[in-house]
Amino acid sequence: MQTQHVHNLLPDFVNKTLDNALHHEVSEHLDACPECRAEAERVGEVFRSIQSLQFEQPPVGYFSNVLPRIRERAEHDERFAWLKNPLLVKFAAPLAAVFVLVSLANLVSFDQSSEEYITYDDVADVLVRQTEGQPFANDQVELFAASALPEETVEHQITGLLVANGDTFSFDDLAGTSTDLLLENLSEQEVEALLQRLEEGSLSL
Amino acid sequence: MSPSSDVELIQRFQQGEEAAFNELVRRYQEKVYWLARRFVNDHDNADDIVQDVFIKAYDALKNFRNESGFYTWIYRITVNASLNAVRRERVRNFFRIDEQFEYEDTGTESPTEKVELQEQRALIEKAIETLPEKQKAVFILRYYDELPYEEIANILKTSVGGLKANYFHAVQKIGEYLKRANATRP
Ligand SMILES: [Zn+2]
Repeated sequence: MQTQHVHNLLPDFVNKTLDNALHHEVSEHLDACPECRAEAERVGEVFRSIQSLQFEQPPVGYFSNVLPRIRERAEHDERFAWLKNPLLVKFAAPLAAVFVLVSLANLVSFDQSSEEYITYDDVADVLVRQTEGQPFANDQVELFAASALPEETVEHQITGLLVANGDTFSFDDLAGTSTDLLLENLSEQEVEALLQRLEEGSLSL
Repeated sequence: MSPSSDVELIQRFQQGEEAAFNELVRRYQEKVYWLARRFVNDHDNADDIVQDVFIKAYDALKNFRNESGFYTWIYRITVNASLNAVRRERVRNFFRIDEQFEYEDTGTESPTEKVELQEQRALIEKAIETLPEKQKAVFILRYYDELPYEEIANILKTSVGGLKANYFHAVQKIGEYLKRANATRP
């Protein structure tokens, strides 16, 4: 039995979810292999920690209330069904880009304290929509925002340019960043490369 | 009378029987809730996801073709909705650059043991939270939902190969995170 093979079976071994034959096989390997035995010990320890994590129950009566609320929302959504127009969805990103530009243009003449700020939610909405349906693009979302900048200066530039102002960005904060920063897509290779660096810890965001 | 199967309920809903949808919600709401809850760690966020998932199901069921089974399908929608919610949160956090990971000083006079338990709990949540998406999904579906790997592969639309490695790496990462965090603990 290959060492790596045993490693991958350890979580199921520790939780006793392997079939008998395989469980026995792993067990025998562990008797003979100190490395895997140590790993099995570590895996067991992790699960013991996790077992202590108790999730609090939802509020009393929560589940008897789910259905009426869904019904209510379904009826509400029906009235706004035009928002789900496929064309609108398809052009959500370009529209959002236009929205950002228009908002920026407007901000110049607006009082900085006005409501016309771009909020985190606006940005988050755009980015999430961009990666919707792409499996496992979680890390991409962040990289996405950083993608327009030279890698080594990501942290510096983000810090310099996107100075958080409460829960909003002001025009000054966004000046100099292109809408590419918010909207440009990364190629698959770029994502892979950056993910790699994130995993190695040589790039922290 | 034995309870209707999912397939029967879906057919009845497609024929216009609204009550059949209600039964599907009642049947799956707890599963959907807990699956979401394990991704987002928070009741309110999990509740949002439950709402989104069933609204989506309500619309999509009208044209649903039982290719993968309702169970797999609703799990898949839930995983995707949960990942989206997490993405949204991560984008928000990304821009909140000054916010560093800090141990909260609870400042209360609760017994040390209780505080330690809370800290440990927060740490584990954080450790799971920092897993890459696929590892996290596999970990949750395998550990909490105890699903077979074949089923996990169906839900995640991926192949079975590699899932065990994903699971092991998830556990390993959680362990490393806890070790690191406990070592730097004040
Ligand atoms: Zn070994």
